[in-house]
Parts: sequence; structure tokens; C-alpha cells
Amino acid sequence: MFLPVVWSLYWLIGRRRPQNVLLLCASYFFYGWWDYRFCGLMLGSSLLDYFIGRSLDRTDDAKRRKALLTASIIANVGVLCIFKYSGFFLDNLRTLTESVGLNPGDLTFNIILPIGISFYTFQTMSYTIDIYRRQLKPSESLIDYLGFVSFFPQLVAGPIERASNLLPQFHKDRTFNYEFAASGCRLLLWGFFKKLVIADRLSLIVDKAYAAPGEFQGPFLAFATVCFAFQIYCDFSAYSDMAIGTARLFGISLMRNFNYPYLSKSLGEFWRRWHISLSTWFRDYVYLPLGGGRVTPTRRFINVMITFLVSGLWHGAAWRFIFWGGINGAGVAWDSQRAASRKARGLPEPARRSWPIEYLSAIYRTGVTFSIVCLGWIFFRADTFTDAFVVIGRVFADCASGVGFAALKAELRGDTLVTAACLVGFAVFEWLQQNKECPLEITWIPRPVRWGIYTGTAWASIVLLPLLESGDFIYFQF
Amino acid sequence: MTQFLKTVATFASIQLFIAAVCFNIGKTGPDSYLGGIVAKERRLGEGTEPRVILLGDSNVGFGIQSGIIKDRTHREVVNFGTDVGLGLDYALNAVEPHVRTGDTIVVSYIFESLATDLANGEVETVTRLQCLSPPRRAYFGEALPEYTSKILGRDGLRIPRTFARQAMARIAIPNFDIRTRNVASGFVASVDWTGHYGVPQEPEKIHEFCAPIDTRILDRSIRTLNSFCKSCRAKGVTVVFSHAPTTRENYETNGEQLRDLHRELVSRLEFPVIDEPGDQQYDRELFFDSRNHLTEKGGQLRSQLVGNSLARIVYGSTAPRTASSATTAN
Repeated sequence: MFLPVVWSLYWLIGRRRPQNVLLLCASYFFYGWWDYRFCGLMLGSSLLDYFIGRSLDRTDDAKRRKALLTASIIANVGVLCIFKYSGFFLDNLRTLTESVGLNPGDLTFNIILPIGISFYTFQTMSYTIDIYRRQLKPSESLIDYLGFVSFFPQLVAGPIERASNLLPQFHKDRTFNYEFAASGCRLLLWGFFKKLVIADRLSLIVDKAYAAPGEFQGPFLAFATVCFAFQIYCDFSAYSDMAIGTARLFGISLMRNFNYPYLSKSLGEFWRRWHISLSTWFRDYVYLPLGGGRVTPTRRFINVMITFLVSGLWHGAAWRFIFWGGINGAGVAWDSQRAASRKARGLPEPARRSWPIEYLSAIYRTGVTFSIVCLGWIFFRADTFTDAFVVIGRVFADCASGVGFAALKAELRGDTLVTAACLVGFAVFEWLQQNKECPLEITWIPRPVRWGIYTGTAWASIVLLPLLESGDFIYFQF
Repeated sequence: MTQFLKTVATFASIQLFIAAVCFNIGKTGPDSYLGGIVAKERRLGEGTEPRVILLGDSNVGFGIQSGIIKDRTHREVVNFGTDVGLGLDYALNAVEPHVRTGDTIVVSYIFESLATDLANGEVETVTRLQCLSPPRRAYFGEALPEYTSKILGRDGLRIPRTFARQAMARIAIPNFDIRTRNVASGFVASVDWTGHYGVPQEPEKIHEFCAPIDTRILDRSIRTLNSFCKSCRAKGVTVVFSHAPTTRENYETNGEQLRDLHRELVSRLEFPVIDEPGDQQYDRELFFDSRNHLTEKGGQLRSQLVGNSLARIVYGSTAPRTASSATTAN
């Protein structure tokens, strides 16, 4: 009911300023519905950066500007550390002190992780940094600024919007555009399908395998890992699609967050297509300030690794996530090193080969990239390092010796077979529609057929809905 | 904007139309297995003489024959064995207002109905029942907040899912209702379910499975049963518990868990348990589609066993029958 009510009021009001007030109130109501106590935290974090942003704009004193920026970064990262990483740091401190024979005493700090904190703190930080770099003028209107930080469609799981993209839209009058709103509806429908049919169904297989990986053989664990790759993609990209679609209903454009990442032919390309808003954030605010790629090869490698290790830590307060970041960082560093070395040696681009060779080569490279991504996902999904190594060990040992394929075949029946069929159908449809922003962009088809497809998608989401106790989005926890 | 609203309204109308069609095709009819509860409830309210009420899930509905119980006890019998998906509260709360002095109630639930999530019932089954015409009263008891939160939350989508799936099955599969025991035959007279009696399932399709005991749910089930017993006793009603039937193979595999459950019931229930789980093991050939649904022959054997115990309770000693005194009807 929330969305239709806010949407109706929004367009009934029709004037920018009251519309922005409505969006702000709706966003805080939306956030407070989960836990009203954390509205204060979000407001505090937003106000701090708002006033720091204004102070930054008013002064030309380099030292003062740097101090203001440092204050903003310390405050934002500090909030993240307290709410997200304190448990992780204390656990490691306890392990460290115990390993040197000291008794650390009661080192516990139980605190609830406020939903969406990783997203909105990054958004406010980018606002301050852009003003510091003089790439952005601070917002004159506090309402517009608070609306930009708390904009409810993308508040809890992104995309992490840049102030330079979203804030100007709050300053401008918005007019209703049929095509824009219709594309938003399509994104909503596709997100709904991806989440309810693909991600939630796959979670049943993944949860079963990863709850006790020692009880399954390699081929099933490999299948479950591929399922997880698609589960996390469908889950997270579904939320992004729904966020972008909802924003479009309000006449607001959010950045694209996923661009068919599993069709990438290298790990570098994968990270340009996966969680684009976060990847570009780390590129602009971590990688480039460290020196980016225009440095020595060793330094470039270090820069890439730092960026990915921090990105891993952003995803979760555990060593598994940092290791996951490390695997991806090493892959991207390897890719960029090869490209840089080819460029440095003045080697020409590889000559074009005949199309079947090109095609097979593309399939091969896509397969290799997907396999490396899946290797990383094992550490992302497993509950412990031990479980992750059990999965990897079994996958390689059993698959090499041909053990467990009969067991996998036996598992592929009933609901699991339906899920596998849904997954294959989904992958083929996405591959066919890879040039479109949303696979449901089929406006060239006559309306009755098109509506039949939309209706089929909606009802498939309902009919194939799995029975789950909880169907939360995975990225809510970050 | 007007064009957009018109388009959205048209699209929504199409979806509502499809939903209405699904509802009409997929809803539970009064002559179905689930819908038979209407007749069962009606029968609970009939007559004035003391009766034997068989209360439980489908193991009672399919596995006890009222005629045999009536022969042994010379009392009218109401078989209130209902769908397991309705949960424990539903059946107990439906029966409790209708009991009267002198009634004897045999409570029999399968392991999962007492000690696993099934005790709470399933949203989809409850939904199908609620949409019977005329609408059924809700007997949710303690479970009400649980159902409400599920229906109002994300799981609310299960409601159209239930009807859409049932409608698709009815359209796609010839004789779907008969094949899936949804149509009862002869239940109005005796309120037993006899739809599939005499058609044994291939033995390998009768799954052997026993979920672990969830102590939290078992505690709640025992509290609910004791509370039910207390209300019944206040009206002069005798309540006893009888174990559900199971295959010999399942008893071999999961006997320890079943005996654990038995020990918990004997020590904590405030009414007698008239048999042991071991008394209720039967050959696979006597089950027609699951390890809890007996064929006609299996039902006869079980009914004789339960009938003998009940005869002793109704006319003889009220002491519960023990395993050592059990006649091996099976």
C-alpha cells in the first residue's frame, strides 16, 4: 500500500518543493518502519555531511578544507566501524590476545546493524568528497539534500547514488513521462520475477548444500555454487531493478547497477558490470586517489589489491569476505597487468579471427571468468573457511575422479529440476536480451503478445513461488 | 498520466480477472477432502447421545473405520480426521464446543503434527478452507497471530499461488481430484474418508522419513492438548490418545524418535495413552499413498485394535491398555 499512496500523493501535489518534502517524509517513514531508532543515526550522519559540505564551499584555506574532509571521513567510517565492524575487530583482538597467552576478559559488544548503513554512509561521503574536489556545489536546500540521502527506493540496498547524478534531480521540476514510468514498471516486474522465482528457489538448493557441505559430493557442491552465483545475482540485481523502477515512477533516474555481469569475458569486465555503483565508487574514491593505473606495475598491483580488499570488507565483517575480495583483486590485477604490459611493449591488438573462432574464444573466456567468479563466491557463501575449503576440495577431487555425478542426477528431480529449468530459461532469456537494459523491453512485439508475456511473468512469479520462512534480500545485511 | 493510469488499470484488471478465474477453478468444493469438514462439523452438532469422536489428522480420516468402532462400542461415531495442514489448534478448537457429557474422544496425531512445524498448520491449506462457500469460521487459537503475520507479509503471495496451482492442476490433469484423494466417497454417512481404500501404493513410493523432534513445538502441542482435555473433562468427557499408524520399515528407522515422543506424551499428557507406537506398525502393503494412510484392509485392522481398547474404556475398566496387553491385530 505504501508505494501507491506515496505515488498518488506525489503526482497530485505536482510541485517540486512539496514533492521533495513528501519524498523525505516517506523515506524516513519507510526506514523507521524497520526500526525508528536508527532514523536519528541516518539524520545525524546526513546533517554532519551537509554542514561540512557547506563549510567546505565557503573556505579556500587548504588546511581547513582538508581538516573538514578528514572529519567527515572519520565520522562516517567511524559510524560504520562501530555498527558494522566492532564485533569483528573485538573477535580478532580476543584471538590475538589469547594467542599470546593473555586473558582478554569479556570482549563483547552486541549491537544491531542498521539496515542500509553501508549504502547511505557511502552516499554522504561521496557528497563531501565531490565538494572537496570542487566537482559539486553543496545543496542550498536541506530538504533536497536529506531527500537525496534517504531516497527510499535505493536506501537499504543501493544503487549507491552519486550526489552529482541524484541531487540535481531533486533541484529540478519533474514531469510525468509515460515511457519512463512504463520502463520503471517493466523493471519492477522483472525484479519481482528474478527475486521470487529464481533467487528464492535457488536458495533452497544453496542452503541445503552449504549447511553441511561435508555431506555432499563434488558435483552437487559445484552445482550448488553455480546456483549461488545466480542466486546472489538475481537477488541483488532484482532489488536494484526494483529500486530503479520505483524511482522512475517518481520521475527520477537512478544509475544502472548491473549489466549482465556473467557474460563478461574477463574479471575486469565483470567488475565493470557487477554492482556498478559500488565498483565505480571504489574506483573514484579509493583506487584513483591511491594513484590508479598510471604508476609502476607493482604499485598498480598494490592499488588494485587494496581496493578489492576494502571492497571485501565492505561486504561483510569477516575474513572470508576479505579473502573473496583478494581473489577478485588478484584476478583484476592480473588482467590489467597483462593489458598494461601489452601496451608498454607496443604490441598491436590481436588480429580479428574468423567468426567461429571468435565465438568459441568468447565462450571460453566467459566460461573461465565465470569459473573464477564462482571460486570467489564459495568463500562469500560458506559459513567458515573450513567449509569453503571442503567445498573446493570436494569439487576438484570428485569431479576429477568422476564421483558423485549419479548422486547429482538423482538430486535433479521434482522441485530441484523445476528450479534448474527456471534457471536455464532465465539465463537464455537474459543472453538473448543482453543489449537491453531490461530483458522485458520487448516493445517491438504487438501489444497483446507483449502483455501476454508480462502477464505470464507476473503469474510465473506467483505460481513458482517457493515455500520459504524468510525471503529477505541478501544485500540487506551489508 | 491519464494514459498511464488507463494502461495500469487495464493491466491490473486482466490480472484480477485471471485471479478470479483461478479462484473459481481452484477453490475447495464442499465435496472435497478438505471441504468435507463442513459435513464433519455439522455431524458434531447432531444427536444427544454420548458418542465416540475420533479426532486427529488424515491418519484418522483414512485409517479408522467408524463402522467397526461402532460395532465394538455401540455408540455413534464421528470421524473428525482432518487435513494435517490445518494444524493442531484448528481441529481441537472445532471439536471442543460440540462435546457433551459421556462422549469419548480418541486423539491421534502423526509425529509431525505434534513435534514439527506442521503443528502450526500451513497457510495454504488454511486459506483453501477459509475460501469455502459459505466462509468457514476461523479456529486458530494461539496460532492466529502466526497466520495473520504470514498472510499480511510476503507470504501473502501464497494465497493466489494456492488457487493458481490448484486451478492449473485441475485443468491439466484429468480426474485430478479423484487421483489426489480430494473427493471423498461415502463420507457423509460415516464421515470417514474412503476415497482410496483398497488401492495400495507401490511400496517404494511410501517414503520413510521422520523429522527430528522440535522440543519447543512439542511443548506447545502438549500444552494445547492438555488444555483441550481440561475443557472436555469439565463437561464430563473422556479423552484418550492413540498413536498413528506407520510402516514397519519406518518404525525400524525412526523407532527411537517415536518412542521418545511416546515417553514425553505418557509423562506429560494429562490423559491416558492407550497404545504404544510399536502397536501401530503395519506392513507396507496396507498403506495406499503414505506411511500414515492405511488401505481398507489396514484400516480394518487398526479399527479393531482401537475399537477393542475403546470398548474396555466405555464399558469396562477405564485403565489404559498397555503394550503388553495389546492384541496383535496387525
